[in-house]
Amino acid sequence: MLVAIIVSLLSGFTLVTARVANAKLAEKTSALTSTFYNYVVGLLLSIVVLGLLGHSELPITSISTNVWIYTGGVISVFVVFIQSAVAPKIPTFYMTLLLFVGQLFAGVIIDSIMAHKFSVGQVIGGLFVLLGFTLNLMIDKKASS
Amino acid sequence: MYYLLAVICGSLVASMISINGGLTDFYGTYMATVIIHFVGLIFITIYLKLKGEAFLPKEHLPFYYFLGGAIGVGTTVFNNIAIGSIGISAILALSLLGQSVTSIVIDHFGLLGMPTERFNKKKLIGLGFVLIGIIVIISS
Repeated sequence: MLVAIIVSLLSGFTLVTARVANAKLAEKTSALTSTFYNYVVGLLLSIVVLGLLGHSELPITSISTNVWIYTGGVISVFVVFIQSAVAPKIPTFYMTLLLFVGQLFAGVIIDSIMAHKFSVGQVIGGLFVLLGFTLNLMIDKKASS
Repeated sequence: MYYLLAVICGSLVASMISINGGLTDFYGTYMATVIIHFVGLIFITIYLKLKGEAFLPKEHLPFYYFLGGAIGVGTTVFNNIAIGSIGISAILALSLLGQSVTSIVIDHFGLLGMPTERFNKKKLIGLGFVLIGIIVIISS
């Protein structure tokens, strides 16, 4: 569990640094072209990583015919589209906060479905997380106005 | 309408991590990461074609402009490793904390060409609430 906690924190670090890098590329090209290179470079590197670290996963012995499990990559492209369409239309404060709300509460709902039970603790925890981020976003908002 | 789209966008991120977990269960962390990028590339290529946008940058850019995708592989691998041992809500709450701390550090030191914005100590209160929330989520 400790490993899962550490890598999840790290995923926040890589997410932000990648976002900054992609935004720089988008300034020179466009949001879409930058996303395209994000996947080109990502695919190449993930193949290298598979070769280096994924020996136990190769060769593939069977292929899943459950189409749903392949849709993660499609969704990630959708997320980029929606984000770049919505971001210029609403204040950053609400954009960030609503993205957090959507993530946390969809996360709680999915966890409930997986565990076949609804966790009140997760909702309370989620509200605390949201409260903390709201406070900090309000500080940012004040500083920028 | 746009406000609702932002919430939907957030919930898509949660669904995506869950779906990628299913892929990881079947193929393993690293093979799943390759498949996710492959599928994503197909769709962004189709979209770019439909939009008629250029694939090549107008000017020659140094290689570090293209590192976003490489760093992004880390995000997918990390999520795929975590899923299964902790819940989606815990992964997301921890990731949001990681994002927040990273942004604070980047702003404070003006890293990666971003304008400097010094850390406001009042934010520690907010981060404290976030931490309590994460502990509650993980232990419930």
